[in-house]
Amino acid sequence: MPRRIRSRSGMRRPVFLIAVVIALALGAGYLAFSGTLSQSNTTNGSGLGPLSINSATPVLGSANAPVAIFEFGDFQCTYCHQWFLNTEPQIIQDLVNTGKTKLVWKDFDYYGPDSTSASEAAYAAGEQGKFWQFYDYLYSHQGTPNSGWASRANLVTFAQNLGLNMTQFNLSFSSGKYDSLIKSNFADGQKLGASGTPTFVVLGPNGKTVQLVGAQPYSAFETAVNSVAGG
Amino acid sequence: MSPQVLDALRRPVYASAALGISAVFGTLFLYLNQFLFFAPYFVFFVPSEGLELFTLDVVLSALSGVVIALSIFQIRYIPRLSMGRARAGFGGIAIAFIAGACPCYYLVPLLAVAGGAGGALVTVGIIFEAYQIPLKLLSVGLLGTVMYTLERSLRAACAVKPSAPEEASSPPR
Repeated sequence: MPRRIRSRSGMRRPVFLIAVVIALALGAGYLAFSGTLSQSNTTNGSGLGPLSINSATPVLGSANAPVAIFEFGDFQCTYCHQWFLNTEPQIIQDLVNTGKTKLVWKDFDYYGPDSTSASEAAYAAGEQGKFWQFYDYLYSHQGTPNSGWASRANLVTFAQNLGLNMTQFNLSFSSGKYDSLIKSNFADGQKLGASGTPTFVVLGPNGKTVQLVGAQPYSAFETAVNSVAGG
Repeated sequence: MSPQVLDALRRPVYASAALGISAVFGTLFLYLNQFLFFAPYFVFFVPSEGLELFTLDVVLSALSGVVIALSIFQIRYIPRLSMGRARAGFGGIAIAFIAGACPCYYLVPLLAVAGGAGGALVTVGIIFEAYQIPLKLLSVGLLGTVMYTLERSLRAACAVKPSAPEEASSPPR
């Protein structure tokens, strides 16, 4: 009898540990899946506010393309880099260059101050018509987040390497003129339910949208573009 | 895998538990590391540079299932064994979760946490994400060690010992 009592008390701790592991699994699952489900309400005709394009918004492709893919990204985000390597080239080749879609950049900076600096630098490069070259350069040279690879000094070097007019670049980069745009882009992303990066919103000609979260492959974007284009 | 561990896993209940737990963990790990997408479409995608992480996720989910099933077996039939092994196993699984559960696409809501705590959590998440592979390797090492010690302890528990006749017999099926 005493042995049985001891065994039962001995079982409490492992049962507690199993419960902790299961709770961890459920918690992670909840976090992950709640994010997906809240964002899978894919169609709504409204909400063009957060998806508005102004003169400072970088757009790749024809302005008349019927479908727009909005990328909410952070230049320090590793999954954004993964998407840049694996998915974006085919999107540009098959969807952007053919005039079916345009790619729109909205920064969604939360990795740290270097992310904001990288966005400011990219916008400053955009004034000289080289936003997308700067975008490519940043993702091609991405390092460990917050390791200093996107420090202000390095960003100036990147601009030099791209052959930008440095007087114009430095003036713009140090002016703080993009602070409000960066803040409003972040707010736009939050309004759309983006919980992180990369988050994409595919917007069709009739206002129908499909949201894709994460570094999804080309096939998912192709399906989304066809879905909103037809709707 | 050694015979004692295999013997435990030959029991349908524990084999099913190991498979079920591995499947749940595998799905979660693959989702968290963006190899599996459920919305808006179901997509499975392993990019070439993600092969290492994918392999680690598969190994970790398999090891997690087996270690949890064996720990339950041990708790059920051989409660006198040290719980240190089970604890180490759960530690390994916890590390696997920490390493895999911090992808950057859902950290933003943490910023809403009061004070500087939200920012600190995001920073920690970003660090974990950046060092996923070494953390997962550590986790595999821990779970592998737990498997080895579980095997040894199961073998010892099944050996005939005059002082512990009840435990010496093989566990009921």
